[in-house]
Amino acid sequence: MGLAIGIDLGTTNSVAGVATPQGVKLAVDENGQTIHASVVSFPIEGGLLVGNEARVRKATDPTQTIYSAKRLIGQNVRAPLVQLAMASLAYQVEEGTNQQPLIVVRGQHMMVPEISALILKHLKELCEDQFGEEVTGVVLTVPANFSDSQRQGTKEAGRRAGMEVLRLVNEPTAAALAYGYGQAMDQSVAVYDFGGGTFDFSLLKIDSDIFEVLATDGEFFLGGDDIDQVIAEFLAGEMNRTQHIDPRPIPTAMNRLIVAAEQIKHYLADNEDAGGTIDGIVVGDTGDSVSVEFELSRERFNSMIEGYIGRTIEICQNVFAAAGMDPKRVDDIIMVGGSTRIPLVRERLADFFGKEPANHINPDEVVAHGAAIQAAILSGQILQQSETEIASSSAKLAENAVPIDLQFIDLDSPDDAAVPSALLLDVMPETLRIATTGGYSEAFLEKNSPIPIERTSVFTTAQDDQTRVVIQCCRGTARNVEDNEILGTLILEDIPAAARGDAKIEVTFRVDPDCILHVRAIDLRTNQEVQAKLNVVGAPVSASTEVAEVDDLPVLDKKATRALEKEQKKQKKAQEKEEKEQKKWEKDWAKNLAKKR
Amino acid sequence: MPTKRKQMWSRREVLSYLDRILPALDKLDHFEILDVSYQADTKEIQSAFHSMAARLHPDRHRNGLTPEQYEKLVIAYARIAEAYRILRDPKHRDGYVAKLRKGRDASAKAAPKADTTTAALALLSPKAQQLYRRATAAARTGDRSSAILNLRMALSKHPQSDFLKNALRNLQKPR
Repeated sequence: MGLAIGIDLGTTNSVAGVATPQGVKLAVDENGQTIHASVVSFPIEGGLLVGNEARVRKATDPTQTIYSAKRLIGQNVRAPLVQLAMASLAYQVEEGTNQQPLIVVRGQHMMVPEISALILKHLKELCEDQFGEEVTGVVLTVPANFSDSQRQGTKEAGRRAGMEVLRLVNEPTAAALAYGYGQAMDQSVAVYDFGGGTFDFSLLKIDSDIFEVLATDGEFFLGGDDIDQVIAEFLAGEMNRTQHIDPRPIPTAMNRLIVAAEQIKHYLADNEDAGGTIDGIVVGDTGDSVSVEFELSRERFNSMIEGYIGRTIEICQNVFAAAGMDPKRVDDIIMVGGSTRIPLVRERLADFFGKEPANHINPDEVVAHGAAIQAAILSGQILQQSETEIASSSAKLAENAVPIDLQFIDLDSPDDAAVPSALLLDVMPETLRIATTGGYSEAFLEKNSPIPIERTSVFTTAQDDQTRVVIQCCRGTARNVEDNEILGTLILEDIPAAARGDAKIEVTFRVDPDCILHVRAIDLRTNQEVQAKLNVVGAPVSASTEVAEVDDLPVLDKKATRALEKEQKKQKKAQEKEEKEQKKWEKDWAKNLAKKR
Repeated sequence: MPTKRKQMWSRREVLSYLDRILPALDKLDHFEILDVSYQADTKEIQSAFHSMAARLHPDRHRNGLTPEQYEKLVIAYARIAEAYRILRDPKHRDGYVAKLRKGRDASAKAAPKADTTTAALALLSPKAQQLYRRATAAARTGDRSSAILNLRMALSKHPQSDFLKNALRNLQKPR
């Protein structure tokens, strides 16, 4: 059996880890980085760049460099918020079957899980090189508020990367596991997870090796990206004011402003004021570039992002209300995600909880740590490792013939196991509803219900001899179906003919440990299974049923003429030059910012 | 403060639990499923759920059971989760208890409670079931002191069991 790893597949960055007897080890790239950009780029000359190598190409080859795929995975392209997010992407997205988004790469369509699979495969290979063992299993983390189709999409990505997905774990839960694993504590902890793209807040009870989520809530489109956007808009406004040029409709110019914005944000985490000149913003086809000067105090910055931070605190309040708990009674606050470095976040949280958040945890790596631990537990690796440890010490014993006291672990009696185990008890992030009549819906399993869970409900027919029933399912808190997020439809088929209302179909909805919904149905009169199918809108559906290999990347027309090749070479050269310039620009600009006080 | 780890069940214990519980799944109420008294407060209910999860959460047994056994365990566990969902929330719990009372009153009139005895008995461990049967046998022959002794021994295995508590109370009533 191969290795089981944990991967935190983030909107902007991803981290992979393996639990070893010496603790969790993270996968590093050739530059020693543990944090890998969630970016895939498709160079014109063919081939593929993934991770930190591909990051810089966001600016130099924006239409063929795919980033923030997590914002699209398992989404319904027609949803308004998704449309909004798509508008700010530099690459092209189209609608595919089942309203799933398709990404256009070099003239070909790719499903979002195919892109995510490339990132996962990259991390898998880094682990394999580093640990010298084949990776077969993986625990992937997802935002707690991920929907059914988003989860299915993520699972699909893991499968396409050639791994068995042992479990999808909610990111805040994984963070809590990393925090409390092996500590035998009795604590209530809060996890504030403010990442690049999403915000989640979970409240957990840690009872020795049991990690129970009491309540969770979050917002899918709320993260560091939004804050960068706010600063970039400010810079664009400054440019418009002083130079009378509006860069907002110019993607290359906005890209540079966003890169600058991110650095200003980081700078303001440690400094009271930022100011300087941003050079080299190309605003015309002729390659003319302009500069923009700016001054931004932390105070001004705080007032610009106040609304976003206030929204996160509101979500925290909702969670405490749902759990019937007082924020002041929390023992510790775990901070996850890069956006927790913003001073205003720490200030607001200290006010809210009446104490400072924990500061000994790395907010970028803690989720991957938890995922790696859960992977080792679920695959049985933790026990196996103790076995191999015993085996190696036995071997030493034979070699040196020095008697050593050996503690054997009795695998039949887990109570004596010397290795700490842990059990995650998670919850449903959102209320599951079923449409009734007149456009209304009924709550079927409310949010924060423990999972896995099962509930049954009896349905009947509305017409004589009806053999097919279609039931709409949605998620949310509103009574009107329309005001909720449409999940999909449940279709019952081949129902034995009967007078209307006579058919009694008992439908069992099961939410599995990955928080994915399954249905089965029984005709109560005959006790026969009825065919039940749940179609989830936005879930990945291949045109062919066959699962494509990750290596089947879009290939350029092989009959390409020499002229085309020449053109490619030229483009490649130009791009390399541009890449170099971009890197230099980023470096210079960072220096420039640091110099200014 | 460090707390004691809750114990995980062996494969054999899980299988014996499934054999006992699955046939009775529809007859047991949420309190019986979680093995708590009807007076249990929210904290006790949470603790009982943690104990049940520690013993037989499917994650703890995914490497030891056949796919069929695992599937059965998931069904049993999902039922425990549903019981916890209802009982931990005061609003749900009140509604459920009211419904339970109504049902009890109706069924008390309609049928003797032999059915609930079988169901409650199914919840006990095999050892406790044996002790309970010995107690009833002893009571039938008039040997009240050994009946009480056996019941107390059974109760020591399931301190929360209302079923056993009631049986003991009935036996200890002065005649």
